[in-house]
Amino acid sequence: MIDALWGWPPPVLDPAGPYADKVTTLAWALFGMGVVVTAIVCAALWLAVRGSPRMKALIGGERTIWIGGIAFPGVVLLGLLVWGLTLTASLTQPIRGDEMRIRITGEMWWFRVQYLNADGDIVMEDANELHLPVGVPVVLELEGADVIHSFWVPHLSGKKDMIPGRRTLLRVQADRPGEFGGLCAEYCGSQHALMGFVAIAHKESDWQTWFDDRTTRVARTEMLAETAPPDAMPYPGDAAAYPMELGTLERYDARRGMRLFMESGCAACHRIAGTEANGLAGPDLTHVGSRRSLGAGILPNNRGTMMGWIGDSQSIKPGNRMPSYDVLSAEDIGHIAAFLELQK
Amino acid sequence: MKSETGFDHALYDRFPTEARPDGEVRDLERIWASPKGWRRLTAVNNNYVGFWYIVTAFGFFLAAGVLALGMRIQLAAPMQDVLGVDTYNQFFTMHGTVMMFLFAVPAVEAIGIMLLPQMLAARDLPFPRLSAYAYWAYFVGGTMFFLSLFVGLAPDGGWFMYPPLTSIAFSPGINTDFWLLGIGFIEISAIAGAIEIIVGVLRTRAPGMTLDKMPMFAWAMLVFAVMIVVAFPSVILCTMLLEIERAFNWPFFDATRGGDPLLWQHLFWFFGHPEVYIIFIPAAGLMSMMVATVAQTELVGYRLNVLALVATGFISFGVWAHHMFATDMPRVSAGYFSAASMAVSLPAGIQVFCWIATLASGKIRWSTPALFVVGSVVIFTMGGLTGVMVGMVPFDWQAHDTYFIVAHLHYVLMGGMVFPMFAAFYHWHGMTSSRALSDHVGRWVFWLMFAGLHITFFPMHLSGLMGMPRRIYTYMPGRDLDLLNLISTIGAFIMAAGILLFLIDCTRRFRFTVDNDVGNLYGGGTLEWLPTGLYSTRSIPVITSREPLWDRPDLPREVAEGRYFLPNSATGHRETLITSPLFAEPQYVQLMPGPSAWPLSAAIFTAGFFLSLTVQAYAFAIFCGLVAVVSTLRWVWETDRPIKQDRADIGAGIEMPIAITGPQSHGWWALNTLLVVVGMIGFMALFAYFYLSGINGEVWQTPPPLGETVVILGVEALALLGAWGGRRVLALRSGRMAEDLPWIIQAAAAALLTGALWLDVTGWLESGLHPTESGMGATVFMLSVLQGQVVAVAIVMAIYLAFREARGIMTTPTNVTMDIVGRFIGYCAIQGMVFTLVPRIFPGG
Amino acid sequence: MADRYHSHDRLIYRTMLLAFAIWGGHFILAYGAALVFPGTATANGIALIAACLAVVAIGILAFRLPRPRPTIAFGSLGLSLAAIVFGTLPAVVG
Repeated sequence: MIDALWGWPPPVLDPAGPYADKVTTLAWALFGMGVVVTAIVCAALWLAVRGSPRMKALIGGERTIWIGGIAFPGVVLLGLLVWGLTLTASLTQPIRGDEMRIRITGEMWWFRVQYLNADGDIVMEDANELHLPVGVPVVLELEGADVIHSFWVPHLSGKKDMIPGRRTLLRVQADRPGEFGGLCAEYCGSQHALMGFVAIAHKESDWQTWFDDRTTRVARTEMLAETAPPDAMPYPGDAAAYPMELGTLERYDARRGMRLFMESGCAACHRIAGTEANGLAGPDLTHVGSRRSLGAGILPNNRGTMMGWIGDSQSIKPGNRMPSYDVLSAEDIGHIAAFLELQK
Repeated sequence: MKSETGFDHALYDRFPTEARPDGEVRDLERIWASPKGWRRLTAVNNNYVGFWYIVTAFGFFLAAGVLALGMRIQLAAPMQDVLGVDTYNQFFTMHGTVMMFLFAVPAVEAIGIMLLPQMLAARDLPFPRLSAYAYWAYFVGGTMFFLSLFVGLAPDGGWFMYPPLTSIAFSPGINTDFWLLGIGFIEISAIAGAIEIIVGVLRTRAPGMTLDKMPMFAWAMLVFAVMIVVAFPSVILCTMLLEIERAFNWPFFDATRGGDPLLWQHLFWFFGHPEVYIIFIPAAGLMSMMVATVAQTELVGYRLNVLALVATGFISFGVWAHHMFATDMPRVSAGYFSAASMAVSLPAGIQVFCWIATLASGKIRWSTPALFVVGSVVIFTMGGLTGVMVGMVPFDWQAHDTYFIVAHLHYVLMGGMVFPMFAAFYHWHGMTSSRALSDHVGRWVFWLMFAGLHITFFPMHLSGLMGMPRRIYTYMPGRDLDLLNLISTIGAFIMAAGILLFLIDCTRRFRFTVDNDVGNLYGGGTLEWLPTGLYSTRSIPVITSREPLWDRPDLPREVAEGRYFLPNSATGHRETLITSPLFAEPQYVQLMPGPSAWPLSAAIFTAGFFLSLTVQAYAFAIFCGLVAVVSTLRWVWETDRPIKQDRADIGAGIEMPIAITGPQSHGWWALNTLLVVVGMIGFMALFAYFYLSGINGEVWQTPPPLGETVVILGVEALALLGAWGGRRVLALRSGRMAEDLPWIIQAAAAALLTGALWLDVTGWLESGLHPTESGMGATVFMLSVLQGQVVAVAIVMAIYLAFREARGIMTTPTNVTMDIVGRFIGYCAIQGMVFTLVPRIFPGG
Repeated sequence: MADRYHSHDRLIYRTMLLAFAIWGGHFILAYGAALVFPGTATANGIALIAACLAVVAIGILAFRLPRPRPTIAFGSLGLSLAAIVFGTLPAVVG
């Protein structure tokens, strides 16, 4: 199973950025208020039932209602309200417009992530992962492609809905490097439960390196140049063509995987920059090999899980939009997985 | 000392009178006797209907609870496959829907029907056949709805059914239509119940029971019913919109054609949040009464409690969008809803401290209801506090749609409704059972439920903060959620054990009875503990205080001896005393209808109508619809029964008229309430029109020419004139036969309305607007659909009027039927004018 | 059977309903302004003016009550006033 990116300590109480930080303070204050008021009510109940006659006489009148039911809550609620409104205002400062922008689209049941340049053009596409530089405020443009989803990375900020026909804006900022789990919070159909996400905060310089690398490099197809055309490939059948000293994994030929990818229907829904695979329905696979997880945060990303996902995604995540490629042989799927593994 | 109606209060001093002959009791028994055998199903008396209602609602509570257990088993450990995703999604949708719509609202309505007449010392609620219809529509429709689960066709979009997930593109099956069907029934029965309760509370109280002396439950039910009348139209409209979008492709919620998914959320939550208070307020009323009985002292802060109920009723209509904080509402708008959410906590605080102060001012008698009462105060307080937390916008952004919310809402609903309901069952079961439930077992029931509740729901606060979203059928291991979820599952079974124990005790000891009950087990001081039969109390006492039984120990005996109002049947028919709304001064004697199979038939065929629509059997739907309409008309046929007397002696030589019309009559109140409902539906539709024009103004186009608009308005004004004129003509024929002219005028008015609607629709079509093409088209033609519905009713009414005239039962100078038809057609004309004018002169965008 | 009727009952219940209706009116105006002029000073101004009017109206209603002031009517005015103060804060704070 993939690494737990949330759990204990509760991410709501373990903030990693300014937009979650202040809410954590508020949350602790609210819990304190809850405990104190519950204690007061329970104590008052106890005294009302079991108290001395004097105590009961003290409580048993309209004055109790005026103090306990009107004045006290009035003051507490007024204070909380002012705090809440001030905090809301500080968390929703107007967006200047020159912030870094990333568009995230909720789809059934994964997140499309598109990095935008200053003009708002898409320069790079990814899925289910958000890489962001530490200490830099990032504006997320949230959209819903089909139904309403909700974007939530509790370490970084509260949630915001992704609504078809609208573009909602959410500001996030990470103050420390790390990986922060996220998920869809609005019920969006059968696989809502398995719609995960990860935000990865890098040091700013590291992020820039990563980003430049991502945007300049396209598909890992360089190995094609040094080999014969795909149809001349020897495997399967001719195991002898492979030197025995290679480990089992290398027996799967990425070159053949690429051909299968293009010809078996994968390319109709998935794009790999620099190849003829141009499908837009599913996640962009240009860098799939470097993703932390498969299936929107539910499987670790390795050859085995990739093979399992390609061959039988419907039993891993029933109802998802990708058919199980059980018509392909295990060998074929292994080749495709080998090819995809290289797409870092 | 002022009088509200001119009734001389000195007349009250004639009571108690001398004891009346016993023979009158036998007359009452004969007149109010219910049919035997299978014909018992045609009974309309509140003792029967109320009891069936409660049993059915409780049955749905159990059924939805079993679904919850199924979900808890599925979630007991990560990555389980006990239910499977499709079944799980149907389970949680049904759990929420059934609990909210088929248990909570009907249950409190049922308790109202069961208890209110007795508490107010009325013979029955004012429209017993309407109660019966509401019950049967609910029973048949709710059962069919629930059965959809067994064929895998249950809805799976969550109980608030957000489009576009529930639109035809993403939910092509008829599962969603079943949801709309199920809700349709509860809308009908809730509205019917609300009308019944408003009129019942305001017009059938015992003489002298001023508003200030009403039992707190009656206050609560009044607020409850008014809230239903204001809130339910919104959900009626949005279920219609969704069904029309699904069936006819009108894009109300489709963003690509100028609709908006958030329109649904506004409409749904404008109903949905008040709904929570609709459930809570009656339970709070019961709590207030039980607290007083448990402590054997009158409620401290009665008036504060009244104003708290009314304040909740109002302010709860200003909080709906706190369910939408995460939709990127502008900050200031969100602030208004946050502020109202804080403000609505104030009245809740008042009530909690009223209860505490009352407990302190008396001497508590521990018993099962006392335990449930005290327990629910604790639970409700905890739920209310998490409610304050999520009312804070920034915290809600984190907590929204997580298990924190699941914990919050269950604490509120359990503490605010379920526990009070159990308390009430124990407290009042002496009214309907010939044997008492075991107090010893009851304490076990309480402690199992109380412990189970905390074990189940308290850990959910934490799992929510740890990142567990609601409505997930499974979760990944290794996230520290395993243990918390296992604890919740164990807790759920502990709670279920408590409820099972309750059921066992009920089977062993509870025996339904209408005249041989064990009575006042806990020493309550209100009128429902007077000796009763199916006719309620023998005579209707004069009320001078809030707890008459505590203050006047002789009262039960005097009432049973017939020494107060209506000690017999003054007309030989079923009847009750109608009193004035404020001071409850006697005004007239209302004749009550007896048992009838027609409400039952109307309900079954209403159910058949909606069900056939759902499964697209349109021919059968038309047949069912016709039978339902005919059954309804047949059931109201007996209104305005010509009877020989026009005045009756209601005891102590006081004479009162029988059956009147106009603003004094209870029928007038009921019709007005219904018109408020219809008007609210229209108002919400106009809201939808303006809302979409503000969001997607670019699809708005120019309206048809002004001249056409003026013509339509003229036609509608003529119809309005006709509606008024028909009644005037009837009045002018006082003392003579009504003849044909009055109904012909009304029929002509209905025809004019039809014509106006036709002109309006064709005008829009000619201007190039089409309902499937844009949000504007959809909302404009939706107004026409709504107008079409009332015009269709107006036509049926005009025909009905003609039939009555043909049979010679049009009484002059006043006639309730004529009164209702005229007013309704007049309303249709006014609504038509508004619907014509608004979109034609306010083109948005 | 003295004190069976308050001669002011009608006034009391009318005041109660009016008190909360004033809250409702303020809420509709403030929220409506925020819908029509989102994020502007105009919207906040309308909310503030509405709040002033509402407070004045509540004051008038309170003044017209008989003395000693009946709990229901006076309490409703107080509760409504509190809700209006709460409901004005979003236009002022932040």
